[in-house]
Amino acid sequence: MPNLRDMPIKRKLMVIILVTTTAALLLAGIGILVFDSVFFKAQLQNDLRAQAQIIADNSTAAVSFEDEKSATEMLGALRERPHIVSACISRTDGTILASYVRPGAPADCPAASPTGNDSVFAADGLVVTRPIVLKDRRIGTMVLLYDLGEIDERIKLFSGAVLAVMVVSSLLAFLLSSSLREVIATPISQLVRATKSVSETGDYSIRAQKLSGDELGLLVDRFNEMLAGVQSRDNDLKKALLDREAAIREVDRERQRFRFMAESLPQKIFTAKPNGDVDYFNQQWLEFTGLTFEQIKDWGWTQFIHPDDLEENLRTWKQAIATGEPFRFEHRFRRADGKFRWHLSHVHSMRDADGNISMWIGSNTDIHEQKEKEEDLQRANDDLQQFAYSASHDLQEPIRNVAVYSELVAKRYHGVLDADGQQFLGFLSEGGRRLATLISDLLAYTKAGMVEVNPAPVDSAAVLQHSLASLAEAIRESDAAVTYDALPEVYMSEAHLQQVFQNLISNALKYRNQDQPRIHISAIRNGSAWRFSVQDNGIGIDSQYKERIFGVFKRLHNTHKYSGTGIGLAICQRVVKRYGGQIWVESEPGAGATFFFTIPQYAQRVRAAADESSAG
Amino acid sequence: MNLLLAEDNLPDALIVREAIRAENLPLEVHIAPDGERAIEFIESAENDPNAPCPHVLLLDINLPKADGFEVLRRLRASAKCKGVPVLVISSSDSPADRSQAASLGASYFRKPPSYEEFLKLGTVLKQMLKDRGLL
Repeated sequence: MPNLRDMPIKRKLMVIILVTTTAALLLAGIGILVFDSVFFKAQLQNDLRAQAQIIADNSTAAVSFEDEKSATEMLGALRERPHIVSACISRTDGTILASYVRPGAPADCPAASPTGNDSVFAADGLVVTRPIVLKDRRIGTMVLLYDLGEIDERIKLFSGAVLAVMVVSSLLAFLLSSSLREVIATPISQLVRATKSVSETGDYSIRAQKLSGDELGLLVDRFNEMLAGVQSRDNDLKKALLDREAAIREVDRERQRFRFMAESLPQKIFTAKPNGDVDYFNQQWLEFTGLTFEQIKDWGWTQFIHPDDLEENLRTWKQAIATGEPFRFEHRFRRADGKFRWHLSHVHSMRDADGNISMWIGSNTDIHEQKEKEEDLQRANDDLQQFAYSASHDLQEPIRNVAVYSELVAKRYHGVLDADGQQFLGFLSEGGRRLATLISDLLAYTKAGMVEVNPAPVDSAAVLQHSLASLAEAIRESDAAVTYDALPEVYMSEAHLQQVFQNLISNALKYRNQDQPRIHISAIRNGSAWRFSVQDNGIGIDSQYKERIFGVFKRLHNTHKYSGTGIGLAICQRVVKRYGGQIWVESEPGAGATFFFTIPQYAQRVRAAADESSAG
Repeated sequence: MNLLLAEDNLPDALIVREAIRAENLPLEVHIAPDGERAIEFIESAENDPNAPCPHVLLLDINLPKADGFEVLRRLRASAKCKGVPVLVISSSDSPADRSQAASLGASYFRKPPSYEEFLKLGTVLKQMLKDRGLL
């Protein structure tokens, strides 16, 4: 028999009901039996004593008169009680007057009790002794023996009854329990079935059926509430999972889009972590370097940078990482075949919502051909510049000889030459001088194109004073009034600035009208540049010539009226443009002219930043 | 007094003579037609105790074989002749040439494209000699 604890509740309930019922009935039956036998014995004793007393009382006469017959008849009435084994009436001396013996029983008289008035349970039955009394004098004794067969019969009868009741009641209990257990076991079974199907299917929408309002019903309610809670949380979880999957898919799509874009560009593309570790190179990179991603990731790329570019490259990159500022850089990368090629790199930082750098992205464009062409062009330009410089320089000497010696001939051989000869020699001399001036100006124009790489700051007021000193003669001759405001420091070659001032002031002196020439020079800050102006009160310039006057050898007047080679403004424009500035004129004919030129402050800013960093 | 003129251009050399003559300067002009000859002149003066250093040196920059600044540097390196006054004469108006001449202790005269102007060289030379106490 399996342990009660592990039995199904249905059977457990049945067993409990049956055991309880049986035990109760058994206890009741035994109790009844015990009580009955005790009561029955007492009742039997009383009953027999009463009957014996009656017989004893009725036998007084028979004993007194020794009437055996009457006495025997008296005893004969006991025949009605089959369990009376024998009965005797004896005299006081103990002799038997009469006796009764149940047919088939031994003929002995039961032994009377010594007290003569008693009822004692002996081995063979209940012996009742009653005195026979006449006028308070005892004249005999009445004794009867009653066998206890009736008690046994009674016990048997009662036992049978109890057994029958037990069987019937157990049967009834079984039948009742079968229907009663439904009340308890069915809700539990259903709850169990519900839990089982939830755990097997994972379907949290299943609900257990509530079959009662008792604790079990409460349990079902709580269970269903719990399921509802789990279901809601399960739904939330499923939704969160779906959202997350969608987000992951979106990120994946974005990544693929970026990859596709990066891989389909002709440029080399890379990305790096905020600390500068490179975490992606596109295919173009791997093909170019012939290296694997593992070899060049993080800081492995430094191996293909040209050794001459590496130090500055690292410095620039580390500075960008520290400041987050984007930068561009030109450097050489080693190709798989070992040859270095110039590249232009653009690197930008991407920031998240909090403004922190989340990644770096860089593109590297092959500019090798362009760079080579630029270098070729620069070389050609330099060569041309050098050629022009040498040519004009070497041209100066012979033409100077022509000018000087024609003058010498005119002077020394004045008397030998006729008027025509002297005039022709004059043309020769003048032509030579003009040619020498032209070549000199051409040389100046060529030099105007040569910019010093790192010009030191010059005080433009000092440069202006030098220019005025050079023009002192012309200023004195024309009685001009030259004034100027406070002038800034600029980053350009002193010779260049002097060329500009000198040409503009000399023009202002040259193209004067009848009035006293008044020339004013000033400078104001205009954005990131200084804007200089040279203002005069001369003849002015027609607006249609405002552009033309800056061309080489462009003159508006013939040489007889206003001398000059027509190259001065071209030189000014060349100088100013070389420094990244502009030059223009504002004028009305007859109302004077103002020449403006700008010189960027850029060099000054760079210098100031350098000073700050060295001071810090 | 001896004047050494390092000049490869004969027309210019003649004008220099004219300018000296115009000022009546007591100078005997010796012409070195290229840079090497000028250096030889300085070296011979240095090596021969009897040979004197020139009293004044007129130096063109664009000279064959060794340019004017090379000659000037050699002169300044000479123990005996380093104090000789020098006037650089050139067609060049380049500030670089002017400043290089100044840094080597030489005066500068730009050759003008005019006879009259060129003769002013005599005045400049005279002033220079006066400044040095040679006149």
